[in-house]
Amino acid sequence: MEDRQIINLFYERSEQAIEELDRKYGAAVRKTAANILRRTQDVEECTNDTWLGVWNTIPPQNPNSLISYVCRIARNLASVKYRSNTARKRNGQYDLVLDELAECIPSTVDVESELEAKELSAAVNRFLDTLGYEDRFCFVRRYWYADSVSEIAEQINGNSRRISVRLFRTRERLYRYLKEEGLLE
Amino acid sequence: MTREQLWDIIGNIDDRFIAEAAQYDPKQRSRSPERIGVMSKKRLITFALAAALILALGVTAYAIGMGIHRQRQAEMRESFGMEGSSAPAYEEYDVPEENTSGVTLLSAINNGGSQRIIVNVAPVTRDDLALTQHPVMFSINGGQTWEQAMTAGDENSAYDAESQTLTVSVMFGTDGKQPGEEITVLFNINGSLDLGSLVVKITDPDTRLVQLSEPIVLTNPVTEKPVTLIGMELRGNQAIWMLETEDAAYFYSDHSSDSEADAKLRQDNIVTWINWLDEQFRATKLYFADGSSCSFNGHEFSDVDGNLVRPHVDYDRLAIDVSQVVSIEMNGQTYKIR
Repeated sequence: MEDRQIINLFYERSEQAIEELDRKYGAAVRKTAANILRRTQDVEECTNDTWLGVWNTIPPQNPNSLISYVCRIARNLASVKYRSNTARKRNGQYDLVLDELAECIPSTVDVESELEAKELSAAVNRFLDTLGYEDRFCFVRRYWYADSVSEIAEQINGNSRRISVRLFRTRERLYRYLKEEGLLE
Repeated sequence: MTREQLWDIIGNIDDRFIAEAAQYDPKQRSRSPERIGVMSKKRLITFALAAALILALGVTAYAIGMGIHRQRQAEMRESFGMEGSSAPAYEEYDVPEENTSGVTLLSAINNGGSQRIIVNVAPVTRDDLALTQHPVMFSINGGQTWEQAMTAGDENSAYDAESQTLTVSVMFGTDGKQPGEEITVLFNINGSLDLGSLVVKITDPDTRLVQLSEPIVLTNPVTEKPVTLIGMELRGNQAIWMLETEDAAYFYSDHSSDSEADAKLRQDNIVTWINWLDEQFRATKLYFADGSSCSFNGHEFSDVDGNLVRPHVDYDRLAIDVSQVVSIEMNGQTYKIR
């Protein structure tokens, strides 16, 4: 079913909307959540919360990109759940991704205000537009979806070592880009 | 800055990057990056208009002596690869030569389950566009629910400043409705300025069930068991492949009771399966009676009935004439269809 039809079902308050959404994007949402949360139960809970979140926001929302919309909700819910779990075990994958990100936006950078955070986000968007498709794909899969390097390699039929090098170079470029934009000291 | 703030900053990247990375598309690999100065919200392309219909308007300059309605029709024919090919499912309407205000129906296509219409709406001002990316709203048959019509392409290509005309796409379900049945579509701008209504007839879906001269047996990349292509339901706008596989339940059934390890393994296998399916689609061509051909894009989703998996796969153009398909080429071999 096309995205527009699914959104129409949400507007009609039809419960079939959730079924269709799960059928079409359930795997993507579970994968997004599973990259951050370790326990299957947490992933399922996060998935169900995502459906509820979509149900509660469409309408009035009318997203242009349904997959981005649902994965974004799943990513937010999963990271909130991860942070709120005080007895959490360190999730190697998720924490590694955060460590890597910290290389290009050092912790010394102060983003006290929401506006400054928005400026940084906008700069990252502009940076992504300067990348070729594959570099951008690898970057977004790694730092937005939190995929492992080997998963990315599998998706693009590449070699893990090369992907690691590629990500390293992209992080360096991002660091330089943010510096040139005057956003880093 | 905390690591969590960092995570949130990356979390706020544009939808189009997230959607783009949802699935790897090797065809994009050779494309140059789009270099821009400042990316404003208004500049974003309506990426998620589904791969099935991103109207790449403005491909050719048709403007000389041509009104905006005919210009848009010509652009759509070209961008959808429809020039010189007939496609009964795609219907184009007579339009006034001169630019007009109000709503003008340009074309329609029955997707089999939904009807899409493409219209020009005028006057839409720059201010309307500045307020929202999709200022045109519509409702069906007097319903109280108003939805945003999708802008056809980005602002630069879908909006004609001289005539203040915006080209938009509207889609509504046709379940329980018959071809020829009239539907009234109401339009307004930004929920307030009434633009009037349009009566459209549900167009005919063009469908044909085809069998192959011999079934094509492929190998499941995960289980190495056979996957047999037994035929296709050709629709005007997409083909529904009919694949028999013993593994249908493994890939498509509910697996919430899996252990963590099994869930991870199954998830990985599903990704392999889906990617493999898309590879098969992209490596396949349909041939028409006049010798021309069309390719497939990736699939949107599959419905499943027992061992039969039915992926819905888009063509590389908006619509085809299903009656003219004579053969299928897959993995270098040609199969007649009947």
